[in-house]
Amino acid sequence: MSYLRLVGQRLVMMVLTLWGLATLVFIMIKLIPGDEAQVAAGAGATAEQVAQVTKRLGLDQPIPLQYLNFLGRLLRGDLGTSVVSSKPVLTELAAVLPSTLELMVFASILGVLLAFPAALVAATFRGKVVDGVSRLVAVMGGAMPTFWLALMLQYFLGSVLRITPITGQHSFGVSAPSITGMPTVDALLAGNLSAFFDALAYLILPAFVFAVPFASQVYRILRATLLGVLASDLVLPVLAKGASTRRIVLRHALPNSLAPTVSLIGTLVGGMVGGAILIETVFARRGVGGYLANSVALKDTYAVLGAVMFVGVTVCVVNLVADIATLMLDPRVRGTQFRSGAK
Amino acid sequence: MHYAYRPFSKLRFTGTAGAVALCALLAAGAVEAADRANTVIYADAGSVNTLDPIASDYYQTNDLTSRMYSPLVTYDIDLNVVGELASEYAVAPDAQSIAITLRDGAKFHDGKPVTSADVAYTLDRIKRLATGVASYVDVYGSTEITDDTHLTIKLTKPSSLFLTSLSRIYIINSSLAQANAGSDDAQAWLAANDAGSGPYKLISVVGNDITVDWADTYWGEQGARPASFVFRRIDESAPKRDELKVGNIDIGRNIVQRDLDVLANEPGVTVAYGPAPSVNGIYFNTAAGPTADPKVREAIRLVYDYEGGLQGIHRGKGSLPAGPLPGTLACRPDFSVVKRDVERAKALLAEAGQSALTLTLRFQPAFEDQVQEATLLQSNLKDIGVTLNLEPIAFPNYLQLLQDPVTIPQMMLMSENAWFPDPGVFLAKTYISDAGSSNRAGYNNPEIDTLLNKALVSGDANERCEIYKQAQLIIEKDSPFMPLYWGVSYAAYRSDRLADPLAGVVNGHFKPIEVPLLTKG
Repeated sequence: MSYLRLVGQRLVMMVLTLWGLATLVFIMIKLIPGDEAQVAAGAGATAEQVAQVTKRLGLDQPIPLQYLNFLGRLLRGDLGTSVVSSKPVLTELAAVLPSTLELMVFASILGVLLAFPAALVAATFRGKVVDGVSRLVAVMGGAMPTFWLALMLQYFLGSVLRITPITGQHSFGVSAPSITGMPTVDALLAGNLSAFFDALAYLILPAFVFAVPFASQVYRILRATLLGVLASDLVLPVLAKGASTRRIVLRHALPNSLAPTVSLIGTLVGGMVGGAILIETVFARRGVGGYLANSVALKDTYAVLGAVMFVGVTVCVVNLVADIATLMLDPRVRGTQFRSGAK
Repeated sequence: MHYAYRPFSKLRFTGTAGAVALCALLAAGAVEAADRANTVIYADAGSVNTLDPIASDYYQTNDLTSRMYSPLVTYDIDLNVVGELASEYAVAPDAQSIAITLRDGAKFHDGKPVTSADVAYTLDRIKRLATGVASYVDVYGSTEITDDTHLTIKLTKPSSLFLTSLSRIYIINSSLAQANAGSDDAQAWLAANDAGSGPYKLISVVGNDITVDWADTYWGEQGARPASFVFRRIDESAPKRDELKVGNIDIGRNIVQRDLDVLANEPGVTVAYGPAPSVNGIYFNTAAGPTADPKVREAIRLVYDYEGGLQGIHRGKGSLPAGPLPGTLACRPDFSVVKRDVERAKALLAEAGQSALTLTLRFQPAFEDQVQEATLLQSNLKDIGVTLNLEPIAFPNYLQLLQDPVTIPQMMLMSENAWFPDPGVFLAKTYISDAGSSNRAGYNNPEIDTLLNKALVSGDANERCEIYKQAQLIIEKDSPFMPLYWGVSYAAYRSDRLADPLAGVVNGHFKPIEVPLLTKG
């Protein structure tokens, strides 16, 4: 089996997964009590007005027909229209999605930058003070509620010390024209360095809060794997050749420890979208998380479905990338996968 | 001048000094260039889902649309109806039509004069779409255009409340809307664009900020109003508190009491309190189940610890309720405050044959005060042997349950706001038997129907006021609603930049909250 065939297989699986997801969410949202037409018409609407809205939104049709219409539109790339805003869901998602992606990517990079050096140092100096301290910090980071951490950092760094912004995505009067919807990228595209650094400053705190539990988990798995590799026979010949500790860790132990870590990163990045609801709310950032939470509260069926589809696509794509990366990094997994695929 | 986040002017991070210091300088320079001195940043919770003025029944949308659009009528400081786009208006003696003369010189933001055709288009569109503010004008029939500035609005049935309801109907530029009608009557276009004639015009929607600037086409004086107004969505209370402290925002709403208490001691920040046309209370299902018995409802009303709730839950802000309407509305009889009387409550339950009763109270867990009020009542009801189960409910679910009197929750805790100063609107929407889902108690009293329908067709304000008083006496006796607490209006604001935004009871309820600058830059 080739990489191309593997990707093809996974893409087919992805489509089936997304279809299943869409179906499940559609059924669930229809099962949740609440009348979408009443919500759209308003709390004080008369029965006639609710009936009028029901007809206009097509909610008077049987649910299976509504489902088939939804799938038909989905195949044409139409996620439907929000009953609350009357805007196409795709347009609304396109407006909020880049901001979430920017946060996720930045937080992931930050998480890796925090976790990798810490795990490498901890594994190298196993049992020493630095190892103990880093383990303690990692446990605390993983156990700390992100909501609480966000509020504390906002208070101390933003309100008391005033060295970081508290909420939002840019300072008053500082923003580049929106091209991608990601303030940092837009600022770079516009060649506006002040806007870029300003947007970056607003990204640091939410990304850090996002990165803390991420880094904690990556640190733990990477440290454990590194220790396993360092204790294995693999290291003996290298050690016998007189290689330095640095070389042993970076050139031999780390590459052999990456596969499970990359796999974990894939899972964590996929799960980040769920966490974005909290982070985006506390830091008053626009994004898919806030959009999804608002849509669920207002029983905005197609908006919920659209946001969930985005989450589904993100999880599938990130997992696919992580799987391919694992295959490329670890010949043992590659061999197993391709041999079993050939059978 | 108190001014916002000064990114990095006090940079103390040393580890990333080089790159970050550079960004600090660059960003700070850019911030200074903006006209912050003439801008007010207003932070509130909740999403502005659309800027289509038809959705102005939604509080957050109305915060913006009421600035971008103008209605035909509005209110003066004494809550009398006065013209806005209408220079003259006259309700017909049969209350079935209203003759309107439009103000000379009123223009939309694109410079086009406001005409009768725009009024007709706006009202017809609301009728076609039947959403949002449509429930305020459900008796609208048609508009008869005499000329560009004269028109007559015809109603399907008499309504003395229609004129006051027009204060929430914002007139749309029909040329723009029709040019962008698409297949949805311009809903998608108006959701993100401006077709108004109000004092502010839409400038941008960036991130969670929506910015509007003073419109030179507006016929009124700008006075101390800011040149720019930024609506910023910040849902959580603590970040709003911190942003106010550092001066990044100028005014914050939806801040919890513990944070308001902190802000009250902050230099440059003032927390203003004022009366609000709101009431927290419990609707009983008067149509089915044990709460259909007025004696049971009265017994429950006699058990709640009103004073304890006001002091313990609301920290003494607000007042004890007397009567079914919010305390700031006119035409209220002299009701006395309900006092806790456990013995009388027990006797009433015994008379009703309900001495070992189990009831269910639904509430919205998102509201912290509701959770505490529900818990207090649960504890109080134990004193008379009533078991109260507390069940959370989402608002869309509640709306669905209201469609059938049998499914209306036995007891539902709600915070009610009057959207219009005329008490008739509140009474008619809540207590007329055919009011639909806004009759949250499933209340059906022919005497009340007769009285309120009589008020609807009366053109005499004094007569209507007397009718409202009579109706309230009957409603109070029937107890379909158990008021727990009269709410208070509040705003935390930078008093070194702004004048008191709650000066005048009208502010923030029947008209947009005013945010006058102390000095303009």
